[in-house]
Amino acid sequence: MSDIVLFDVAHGNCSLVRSQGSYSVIDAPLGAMLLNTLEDMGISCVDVAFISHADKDHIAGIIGLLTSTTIQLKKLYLNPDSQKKTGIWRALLAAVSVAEREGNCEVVSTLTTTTPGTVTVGDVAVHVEAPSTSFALAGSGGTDAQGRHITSNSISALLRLKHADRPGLLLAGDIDEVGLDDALRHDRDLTAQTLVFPHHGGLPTSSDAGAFVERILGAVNPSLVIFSNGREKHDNPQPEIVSQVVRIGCKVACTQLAKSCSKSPILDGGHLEPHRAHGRPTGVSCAGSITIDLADHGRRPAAIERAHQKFINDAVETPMCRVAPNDE
Amino acid sequence: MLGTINFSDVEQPQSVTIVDDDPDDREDLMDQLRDHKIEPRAVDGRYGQDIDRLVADVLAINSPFVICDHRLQAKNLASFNGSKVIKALGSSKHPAMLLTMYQKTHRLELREARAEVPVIVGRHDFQISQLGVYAEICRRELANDPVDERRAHRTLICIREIERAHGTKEFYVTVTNWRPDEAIILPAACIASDLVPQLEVGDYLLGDVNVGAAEEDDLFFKNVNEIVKADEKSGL
Repeated sequence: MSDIVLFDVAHGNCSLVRSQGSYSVIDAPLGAMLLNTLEDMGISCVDVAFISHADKDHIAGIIGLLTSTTIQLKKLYLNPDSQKKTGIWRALLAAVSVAEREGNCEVVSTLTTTTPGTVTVGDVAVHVEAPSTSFALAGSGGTDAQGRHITSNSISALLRLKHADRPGLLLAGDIDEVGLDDALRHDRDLTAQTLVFPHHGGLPTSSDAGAFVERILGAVNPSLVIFSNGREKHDNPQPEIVSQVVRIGCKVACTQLAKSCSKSPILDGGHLEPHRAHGRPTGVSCAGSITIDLADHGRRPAAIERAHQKFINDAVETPMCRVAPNDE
Repeated sequence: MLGTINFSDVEQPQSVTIVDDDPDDREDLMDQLRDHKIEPRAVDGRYGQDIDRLVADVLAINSPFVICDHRLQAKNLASFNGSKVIKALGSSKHPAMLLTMYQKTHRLELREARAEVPVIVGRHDFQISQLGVYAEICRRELANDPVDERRAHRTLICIREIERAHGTKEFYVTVTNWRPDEAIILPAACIASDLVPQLEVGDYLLGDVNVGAAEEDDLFFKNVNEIVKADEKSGL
């Protein structure tokens, strides 16, 4: 078995890679969902974790993993972010101190295309496609070759997961157009069957949404685009992003039910996967937590996909993912 | 289903023992139970400091669930609080919940006891229709299979402010993996006593906290016994 579970954590990202008895966690927000899930799955050791970038909705749960006494984390990759003066970043530093004191976790403060470049988790290869080393060294607060401001989002790691030579899945963190250009300028191969869209489907900061969607989908060429969104925060994914994704011909799956799709929560859809999903108890999960089979070309299992599509067709009032190709 | 409790499947207990010093409140609760076809049974007596006798009486009644008032002193049922009764019943693996109108005024006292009291409900919020849920939460806890909201994880606790009042210290803290932007008061009694004099603003403590708790009053703290000094942090 080689798969990845993209958890419905509301606004944020959290993924678990499982392959041949090896495990990897990529990002995790606040709360106990990750730790409870790992414990219930009988996972007492996570081989490697990645923090894509230094935002709370991506790092807070990794702090819990670093301090956990029931689950050992062997190795953590992340990029430093000197601009981060937040409490959660200070807490991360404290958690790293705890891990160093305990001596059971190796913390590697570089996550770039060259170091580590590629990390294997069982049969799955995790390729770091961004940031490049030079871009990471310019760092948050610096500027790129075109004089554009580099933010924490710009240096989000782009992680491409592959099983054998099959096109797999691209986790895009919160990457923006500046960071994406860094990857494309270095001719990184971003192709993947499934794309976890950056920044939860929020609008990019400095270019128009349509151009950004075209640029990233052109590079990735996915058949499925996933939005890891929270219904109660930021109204993501943004309709102009989703409509452009649909127009380009990709399928869409959102972890939670956007308010643009349904004014009211929908309880007991009966279609959700048997993993914890933040929105399940309150009826705001759409796909909920999503499993992608990396050994099957990075696709959702067919029966789960069908059940989710039926839920959308039967229960969701105005699903953004059903925008007709010619609609504006 | 992993980690989820199917609340729709839980059954209401057939009978409930009530421990409440106030006859009016006790009768009111018994009426509510009768209305829902649940047999109410009550403990009535004066127990002073003899918690063992009270617990023995409750166990002898043998209801599958117990509702215990927190303040038992006013009408002289006992000189100890209901949280101690819940704790003692828990030691006998008997599910019991705490009912109180003092959730806000006795917040810190209840926080100290919260690790061993699975369910605390304010009288205003109490719903008989939820009785099966309350009982199931308690039952799972006694079976070492707590619901997600009651599962403890080792987490960082940041000291934000220290206030000295009446010769004691009050620690305003944030719980990193719960809500890092919401300060709460951590009673000194919840912290290992040898650490208390060392603590300064900016330090972190490590403790076992149910970081899946929905509300501040649901949080509990156990084994808060390690410190990370502010100047000890890594320099990533």
